[in-house]
Amino acid sequence: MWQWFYQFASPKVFYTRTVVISRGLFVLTSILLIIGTVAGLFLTPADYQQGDSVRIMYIHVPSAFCSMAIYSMMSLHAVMYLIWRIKICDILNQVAAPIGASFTFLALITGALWGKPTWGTWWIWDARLTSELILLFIYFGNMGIRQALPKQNAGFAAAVFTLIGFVDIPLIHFSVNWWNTLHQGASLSAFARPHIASSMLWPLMIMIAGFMTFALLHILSRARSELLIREVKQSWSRELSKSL
Amino acid sequence: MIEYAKLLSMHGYGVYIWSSYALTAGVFVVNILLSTRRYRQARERLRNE
Repeated sequence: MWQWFYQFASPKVFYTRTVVISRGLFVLTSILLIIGTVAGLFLTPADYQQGDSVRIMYIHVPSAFCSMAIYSMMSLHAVMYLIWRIKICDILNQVAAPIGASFTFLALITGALWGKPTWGTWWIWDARLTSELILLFIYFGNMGIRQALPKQNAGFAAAVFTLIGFVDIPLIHFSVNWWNTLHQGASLSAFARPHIASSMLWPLMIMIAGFMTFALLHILSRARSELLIREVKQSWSRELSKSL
Repeated sequence: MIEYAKLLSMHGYGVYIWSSYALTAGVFVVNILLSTRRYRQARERLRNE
């Protein structure tokens, strides 16, 4: 099993295998997002306090989850790149940043759209909101480094920057516990029973899975494109160009 | 007709809910377009090389 996994470090293997994986991911993402959206908008009950505005949760929570999950994945790839200099890890770190930024942007905007009817304000300099905004700037910083530095240094600098920025991830997660905030505490935990009704939980889990597979699908797609550009002179990519 | 109006208004929260879902759909579409454009660029580069 591990050998199968290690083989992904080879650009050719990565390309050919992720083509197959992406087909499955495309089908899975489509099914999950359709079911999740229909359920979130029409099938689940309104909240007894927040009314129908709770339906924003089915896109806000998955967006926020993805923003942190993608950054954690980028950090893991940064570590692997710094230790083993695996080219694919650098590429994954690079292509995941704009996708992570788009989910962070979504989390902030949908949070504002949910905040106005429930809190009475679009924005407040609350610990959770501010740390999420900082994450957006960290994503921009990572993308900026790639643009600003020559290619031979950009990978190393972006990896180091990613690891420094990782400090923000536990800050976002625990901000609702460490500070008095307007934002509610975590309703989902890996180690405790969820504080959310099962009628709302299943569509939320489906949407989280749908958002994650969407993100993964696009990260893999852009990684393949970037790989083709970087490996344009290699024999495997020349062979591949005949079939494209 | 009344049903559609109810659906759109979502008991007064319609503006917030539909804006959120429309914005999310927009961001998803932009992501799809960017991924497709990047793939086309890579393919062209590979062909021209």
